[in-house]
Amino acid sequence: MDMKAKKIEDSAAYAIPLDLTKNMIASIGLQGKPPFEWEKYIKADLQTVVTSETGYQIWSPEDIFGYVRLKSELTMKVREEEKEEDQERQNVEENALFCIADKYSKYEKVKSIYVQKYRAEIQVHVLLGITEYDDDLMEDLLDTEYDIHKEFNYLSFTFLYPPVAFVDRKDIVHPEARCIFSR
Amino acid sequence: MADYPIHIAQAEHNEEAAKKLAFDPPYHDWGITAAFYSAIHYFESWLFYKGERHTETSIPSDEEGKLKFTAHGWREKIIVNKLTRAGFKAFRKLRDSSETARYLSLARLGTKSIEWLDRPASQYFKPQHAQKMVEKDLQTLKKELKIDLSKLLHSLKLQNKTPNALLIIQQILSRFHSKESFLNASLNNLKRFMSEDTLSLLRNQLEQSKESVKWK
Repeated sequence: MDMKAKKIEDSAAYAIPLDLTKNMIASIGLQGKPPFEWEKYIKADLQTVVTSETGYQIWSPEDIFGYVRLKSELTMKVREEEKEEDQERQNVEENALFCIADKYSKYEKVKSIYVQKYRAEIQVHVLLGITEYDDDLMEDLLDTEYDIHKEFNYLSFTFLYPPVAFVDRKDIVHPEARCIFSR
Repeated sequence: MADYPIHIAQAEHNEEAAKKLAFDPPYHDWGITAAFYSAIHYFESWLFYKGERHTETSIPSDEEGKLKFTAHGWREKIIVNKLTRAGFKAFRKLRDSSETARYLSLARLGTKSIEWLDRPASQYFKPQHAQKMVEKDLQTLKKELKIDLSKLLHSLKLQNKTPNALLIIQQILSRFHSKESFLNASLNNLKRFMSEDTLSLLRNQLEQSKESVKWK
């Protein structure tokens, strides 16, 4: 069976239970009941349950109501956990950036640090106020970089050390590039 | 993407160019770039005998199938995880210096007006800087990547003699830090992970290559 035919068959299989589900939900007054937001998050799931049960009539309104409440509570919990994980990841990144700014600021020739996210990488541009290559400085900067990679191994950084003889902050205006240190 | 011998040939070609350019001011800045491209190919030859095989084909992707890293980003992630501090610093110095030698700019930050350094790369880098990168940093990286040992093992053409050639090479590369340490290994050490047949095959191939084997 090709994909198109399968889609038609699937939608046909769901068409009748969808109406029935709507009626059943309406009959128990579930519509608009806060805080479930069932329309958005659980209707499809409920449809699947009703569809897969050959004797959907055995579900009493109380059963459905209980099921919907359980599912919505679980959905809300998962969303809260995802939010917490996001927040935690952001906190970890912020801590790492603070640490980077702190470690590099001890080098007098580091004039500013900009960061930019690209895919899973956090690109760190350490701008150096030098007009001639300084191998000793580079050795020190790379030692610091290595320590940062090891300390925050669960994050992915790429570092660049462009020399800028005359740093003019007004020129660095790209909205994605965020300054985390400047002197 | 290429196989081991192509990466090695390109790495050596680039290294030769790097040596010439680094000692030929005012073109010494191009010696740095040639050294970096030599380093890339030496690294890829090393990776060829690892699980990843190639940088580009081993970049992890997200749930939507999009690559999570740039090739440079992924390569450096492997380097920081698998090489020593010295190897990491050598590679990173070559990469960062070659970026500066080529661009001298902040273009990567997406600045509206690019901030240029006030002098060309040939003045920013002194010839001795370029020479040090070729003679010290590139050599440090080569040593770390065990290029002498992998070249020796590849030259034995084990793939024509045994279906386990790849496994044998990987085992030797993971256990010895240089060609010299492998040729001077104790027989007991070798017997811990190789059969008599494999040892005999290796000895024959090494003798045919006129290598001095001191296994005792």
